[in-house]
Amino acid sequence: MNRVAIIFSLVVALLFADTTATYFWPIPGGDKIVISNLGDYRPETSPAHFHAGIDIPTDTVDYKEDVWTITLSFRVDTIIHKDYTGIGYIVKVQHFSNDTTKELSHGSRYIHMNDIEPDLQIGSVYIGDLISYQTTFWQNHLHLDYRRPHSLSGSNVINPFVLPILQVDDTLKPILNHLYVDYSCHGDADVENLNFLSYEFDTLYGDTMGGGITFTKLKLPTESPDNDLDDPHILISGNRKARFVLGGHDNFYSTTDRGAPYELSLFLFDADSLGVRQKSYYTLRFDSLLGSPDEVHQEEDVYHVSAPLISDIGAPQYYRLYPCDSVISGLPGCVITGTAELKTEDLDEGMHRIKIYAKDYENNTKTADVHFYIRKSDWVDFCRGFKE
Amino acid sequence: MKSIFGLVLVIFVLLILQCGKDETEDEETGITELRPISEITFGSGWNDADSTVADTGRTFSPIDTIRYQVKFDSVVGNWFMVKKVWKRNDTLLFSSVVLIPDGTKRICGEIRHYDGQNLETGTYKISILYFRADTACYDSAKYNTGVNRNFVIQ
Repeated sequence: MNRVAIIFSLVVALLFADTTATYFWPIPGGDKIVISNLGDYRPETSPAHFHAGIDIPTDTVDYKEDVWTITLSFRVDTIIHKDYTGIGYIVKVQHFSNDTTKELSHGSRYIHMNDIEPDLQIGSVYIGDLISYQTTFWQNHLHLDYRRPHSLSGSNVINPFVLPILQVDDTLKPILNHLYVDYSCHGDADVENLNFLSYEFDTLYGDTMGGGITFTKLKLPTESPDNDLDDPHILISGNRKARFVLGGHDNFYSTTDRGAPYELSLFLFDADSLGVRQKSYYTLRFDSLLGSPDEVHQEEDVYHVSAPLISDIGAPQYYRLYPCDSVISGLPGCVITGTAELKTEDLDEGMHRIKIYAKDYENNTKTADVHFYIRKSDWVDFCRGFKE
Repeated sequence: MKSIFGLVLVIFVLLILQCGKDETEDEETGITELRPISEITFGSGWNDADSTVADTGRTFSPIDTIRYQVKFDSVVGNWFMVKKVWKRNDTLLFSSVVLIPDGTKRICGEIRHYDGQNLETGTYKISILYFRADTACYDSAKYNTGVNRNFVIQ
């Protein structure tokens, strides 16, 4: 352990000799930037999984950084050598209060360092120490995940952004690229453009086919407030059973980073005893992931992982906006907070409207409206409102 | 116990009858607190410039599409749900719903066969129903005096 760090840790320990915990950005002096977040889909690994934390890029000068734990005091619980992982060292720590007298209910994990401090000992408690000094990284980034409770096997992974120190500037809205109407796998509906009066809605972007599944791809243009003429309009006939899949992703700092929207939700404008309102159907939110079995198996609940829409790392990623079979069969939907299914086949004949919200952790929100006419008879009555 | 069950049953039946009646209600009486209909126009064409029905009239030669416009006599801030019930020669054809955003002054649409064939001859009539949250049923709109709801294909 280098001398500066030891002196610093002792000074800090004296200053903060209490049972509270002080948190730090894990790369001191580094820019608070992330290039991937909790829930980002990682299909390239086996098995495919949700990204369990955040990725922090190194500087681009010499690609070397110091790495600190995010709490001042910690106990090293796990060290996995880089020769074993092939992706750099893995160090897992239990968090303590500043004075080390109180074991906190959470811990953290640090991955991809090519070197760690040689005197780090499993089971030892440290105050203000580095876990790595001027190390390079596998693929030039540090992975950090935040877990609670730390001590349990299969502990929950918590969204690191719940810690203010780990929240990053994010001024970019999520991206909603296209909406895909699944009318063959989960239904046998007919989907076509809905043009009426003199409005030619350039809605259908064509079919995407493969693996026996056909989707109609709808354009989701930049939405203008109070203008429904730029929204997709479709006519759904046949057995009227259609389900929706969203193609999109989140950006944080630049258009080159990729992440999962913190929350995706599907609403239907509907009338009931509460009046006309946006009725919530399906919501998924990346607050946390359950233990490793869920990280392995839950991706199919959220991402479309079957042909022809196969979610891949990067953008766009394809999110189901309906409960999939594993949720229905009782597996825990750890990130799915609303599992109601919008059954287009049960809607009244006529015009309907759904709204999709994609929100990041900074509440930057992107929305998309989609209008569709459910046809049950041999007649159609397309209609819209005018404010002038 | 039996009498309570019977009372509940009667109330349930009355509720069902009330909703059923509203669905097919065709009298020109309605819910005064909801937005009365001030004008209904039918036509065979459409003005792009001002988004209004063109070539208006009440009688049309064989044609595949009729455009219509329904004007409300006030603008209410809330969104509301409308059901349009279409009849030909007093026989129900179909009904369709549409959600109306707040601030809407009028709705325009077009009625036609899905397969594009000409509308059959006869007298077509539109009825406007509003969804009422308090009863969770559709109620007939009130029409101002003189509002025409029919067109004829001859």
